[in-house]
Amino acid sequence: MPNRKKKTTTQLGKQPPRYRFFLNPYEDMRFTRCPQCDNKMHQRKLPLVIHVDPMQVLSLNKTCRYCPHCDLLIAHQDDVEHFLASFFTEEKPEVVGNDYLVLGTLDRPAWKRGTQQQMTLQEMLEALHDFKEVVTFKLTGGWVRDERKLPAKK
Amino acid sequence: MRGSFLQKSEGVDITFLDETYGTIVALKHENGVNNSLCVI
Repeated sequence: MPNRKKKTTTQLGKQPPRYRFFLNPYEDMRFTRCPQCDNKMHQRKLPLVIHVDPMQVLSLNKTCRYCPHCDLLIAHQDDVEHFLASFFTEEKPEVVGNDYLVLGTLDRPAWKRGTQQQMTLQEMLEALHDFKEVVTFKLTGGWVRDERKLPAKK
Repeated sequence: MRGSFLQKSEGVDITFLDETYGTIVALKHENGVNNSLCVI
């Protein structure tokens, strides 16, 4: 019998994980409908926490798509990268093009506090909600047979 | 891993930003004062 190892993930934030997260890489897909349940997506503006190599942490209060039914949060990768490129071109050009990772979300009051007073990394991690899960959706293309329209086999 | 991350990130720059109707305003603390960094 194969030895199954339990998948371990390190939780960075001290708050309970929230949202299933999808960073949408498709520029021609805006996901106005949920890719999972096909219901209309809502919009939710919330502070995303993004780590950029080597030593930058951003908390960006950004509008994302959200499906309450699937608890799915979608941020468009081109939006996020456009922002990161614009911001770091102004502030730290040497960082542009570096790897980044969306770590999780903050509560609005914690983000607000951060805009008003100094916040340490430790305090930010105390307020950070990791994502419950990071998911991907892939396009499946091509013609498929509609089983419903096939004549029943005799 | 978490410990090493924290230790390694002692000198991390933390920036808080807001996206308002497609405009992004960046705020950063300098000497205890919030400064607007840029409007994109």
